Amino acid sequence: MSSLDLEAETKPQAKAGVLYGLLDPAFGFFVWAIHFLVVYIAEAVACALGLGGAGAETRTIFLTALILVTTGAAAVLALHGVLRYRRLRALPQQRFRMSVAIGGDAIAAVAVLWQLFPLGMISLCV
Amino acid sequence: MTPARGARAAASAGAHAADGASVLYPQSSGPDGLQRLQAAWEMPRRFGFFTEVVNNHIGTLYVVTGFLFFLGAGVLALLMRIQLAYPGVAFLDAGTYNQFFTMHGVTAMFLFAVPIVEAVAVLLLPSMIGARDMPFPRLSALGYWSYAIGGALVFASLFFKIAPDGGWFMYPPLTGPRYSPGVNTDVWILGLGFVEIAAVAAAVELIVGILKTRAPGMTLGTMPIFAWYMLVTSGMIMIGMPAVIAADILLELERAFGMPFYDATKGGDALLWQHLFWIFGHPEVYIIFLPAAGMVSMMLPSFARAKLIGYTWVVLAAIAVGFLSFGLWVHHMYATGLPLLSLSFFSAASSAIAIPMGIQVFAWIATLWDGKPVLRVPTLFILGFLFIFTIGGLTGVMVAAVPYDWQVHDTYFVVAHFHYVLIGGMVFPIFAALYYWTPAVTGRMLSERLGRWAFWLMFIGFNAAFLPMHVTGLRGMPRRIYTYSGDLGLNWLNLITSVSSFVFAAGVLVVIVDFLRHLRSGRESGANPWEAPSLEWLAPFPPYNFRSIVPIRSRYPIWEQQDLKAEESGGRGFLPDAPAGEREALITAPITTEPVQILRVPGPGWNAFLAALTTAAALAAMTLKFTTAGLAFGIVAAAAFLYWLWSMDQALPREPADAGRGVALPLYSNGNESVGWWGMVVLLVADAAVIASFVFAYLFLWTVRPGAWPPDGSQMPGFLPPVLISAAVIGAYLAFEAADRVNQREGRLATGLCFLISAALAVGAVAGGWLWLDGLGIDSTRHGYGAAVWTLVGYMGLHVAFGAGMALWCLARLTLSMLDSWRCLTLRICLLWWRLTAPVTVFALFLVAGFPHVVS
Repeated sequence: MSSLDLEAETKPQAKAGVLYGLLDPAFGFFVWAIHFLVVYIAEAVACALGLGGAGAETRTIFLTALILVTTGAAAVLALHGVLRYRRLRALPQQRFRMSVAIGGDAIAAVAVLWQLFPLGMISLCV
Repeated sequence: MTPARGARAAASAGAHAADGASVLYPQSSGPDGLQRLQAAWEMPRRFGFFTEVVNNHIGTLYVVTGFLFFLGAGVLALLMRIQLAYPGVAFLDAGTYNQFFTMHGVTAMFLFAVPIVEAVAVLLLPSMIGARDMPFPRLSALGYWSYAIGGALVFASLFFKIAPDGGWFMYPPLTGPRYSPGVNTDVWILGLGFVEIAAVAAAVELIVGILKTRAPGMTLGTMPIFAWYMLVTSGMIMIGMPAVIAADILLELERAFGMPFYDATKGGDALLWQHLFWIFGHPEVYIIFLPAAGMVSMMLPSFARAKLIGYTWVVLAAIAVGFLSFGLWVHHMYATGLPLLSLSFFSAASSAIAIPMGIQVFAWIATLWDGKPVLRVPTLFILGFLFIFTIGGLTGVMVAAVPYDWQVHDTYFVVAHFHYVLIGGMVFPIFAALYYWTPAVTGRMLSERLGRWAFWLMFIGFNAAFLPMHVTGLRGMPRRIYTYSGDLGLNWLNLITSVSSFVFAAGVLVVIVDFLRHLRSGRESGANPWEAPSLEWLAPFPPYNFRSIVPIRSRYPIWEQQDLKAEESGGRGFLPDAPAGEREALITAPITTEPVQILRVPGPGWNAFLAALTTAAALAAMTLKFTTAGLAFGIVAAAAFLYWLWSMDQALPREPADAGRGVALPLYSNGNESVGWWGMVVLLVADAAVIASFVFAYLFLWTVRPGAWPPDGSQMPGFLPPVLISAAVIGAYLAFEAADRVNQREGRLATGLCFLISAALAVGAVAGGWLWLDGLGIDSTRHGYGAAVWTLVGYMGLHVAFGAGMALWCLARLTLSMLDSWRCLTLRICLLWWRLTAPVTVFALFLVAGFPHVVS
């Protein structure tokens, strides 16, 4: 019996398994989802606990924390994109995976950084 | 090497294991093989309508049923437009109008839009990805029959004046027990429950089917773009649909047992419903749109005579939309008094989603620009889609801005916006798809002339009906009113809308006439009438889809693989035969697409139909307070499901079988190569989303009144009981893990003992949980807190109880020699259940015990 003759485009990236291989290109959007939930829930809980009536210093600290979380999430996305580029750029058969991963990081980074507009423009707990 | 490990090794080794070895069930590429293949996939002559489970049959029924519901929704719309044609018309009274507009939305969204996109996928996707069938055909059948029966029950309620009347989103408190004491809301919950089951079932099928049954060589980067869209959509259904399932459960618990989740006078909050509903409801728009966009992306290359521009970018855009759409749900709640910053987060996310949406539109335009477009009927509908949907998208950006939304909230402007999005973004592509893929299914062409008439009537009728609604909305006409004052200056606009809606309906009528005509006298299409590049046009749609499964190396296989047809029809691909007389499918690895297993797929049977029918009868009887009949049907339904489960995990030979092309593969897998394992993983994702919704409900009710917690006078929970209960749960789980390990060493007695210990600990944990909550004095009907605690802990208790049942189930199979170290997929799948249940139950217990200490 002969063997298979397939031009399989990809192999799993690492020994981490098939699920990892399937989900890694969507890494950016998972970061976006976590960031979105964190800033939304943090603001909702803080307002429920009375942040709206707190002093200006407390409110500034809270807002700064949200901005740091946002920029941190964007930095994680940039790092992931760079790592994927370095790992996959030399592998032509991995071009599709690399493009989806880096593109996903880019769109997610825009969506994360977009949240800086409300954070910079809208008052807390109004 | 143990037999189980040997099976896994054989699976992963694929072809290489078979060199020189004798294999079972040799495949024949000759006429005898074809004869056996046809016999195995032949539809039963008697009762095949009810018992056949193959995707071609179920998919066709799904599409036809979905289209019938589309017509039903349309008729309701026309009747409403007669009522609204002039001010003060007495064609419908207010109560009937409420039922009509509710059922119009419910039917259009839940009974037509979501099911029909899944239906198209069930019908066409296997042949697009080079598969024989869906991986779980009986689940497809169960999903379809649940949908058909549940949908028919809900729609039939109109004729008995008990139809839902609270709007398609059924906001409490209007739909709570105080303001909706009749059964109307219960009918909605009942019917929607079935539709949700169907949607989740189809989503499980599609995810596992796309990942595990693609033709060898068809990698993620080369699979049809529609498969990508359906993969994303199915993932969204698995995350989004559970939220509304949870909301439904809470509403029914409030209505039937007085648990006040949404009753503000008892610590509940109506906004909880809105959050849960719209966490599903906004992604729902994209759940509908994405498959339609996938169909457009499949059709365009055929008519542009060019490859889809930016395949990778379109895939990326689909994934991006799938994720970002979950960040938009408050988009529908701008007028509910949430903090402005919260609203702005969602407004920003609403703007961000414009990026991937724009990528898709530009890719389609670029494809048309790149090719030499041919203007056929599907092209017209696609152009109509681009025009109408773009307008809907633009008004979507308008209502995504908070101040603008406050102005037009609950007016006809919003009605116009979402009809532009939904009819433009989904109905027009569906009609394009109807004209495009009908020849693949029936072998006959629809009429080009009638199709053009239909398109122009629908296009003109739609725009003339809905464009004026923007103006009526901006001038203040509210939604959901059965009449209006004659001196508002809206009479002419409403009359134009009403008349034009009949023009749109005339277009649909032309399509119906054309379809009925084509069945009898439509021109025979021949093979591939559009000269399309995708696999579904390779063979003339036999029930087994392909004579043989040929490795695929291109996104456009018919255009680029020269010998494809000859290899397929000559039986030179995989599985050209059915040597055992049974239906077989090829299972491949999700990323590498190497063949890993020959799957014996179930053939015709009554099980799925009877399970759906008796479950529907049981729940309908209970809803209408026929308790005895409900219990009787419930017992029959439970028996049907248990029989079904018992018949799974059949004994199969351990030796590899011939798969064709000189490759031998195992017939069985007991590990993570099996489709059953993948199906369970996907299902558990949905289950985890339900649990997350209950956790959200508990925490949300605290944020509404963040004072003393517990707020109902019950005791502050201590930590000793949850520690003990958690220990029992973890013990039950570890005993199950131990059963798997001992079973691998063929220790039957020890395996049985582990199952018994697991079941005993699980039962102890359930009893302990009950006594703990009862001892704390937490009353589920006194306050939203108690209702949320009982629901969360009770739901996890159900999980643990099911875990105990699974242990006993495995013990029974072990005793009857239906479970051993080789045949142990049942055990492994039950183990997955425990791997979710144990940690999440411990988390839930410590949330309930610890959170009051943290916040108090």
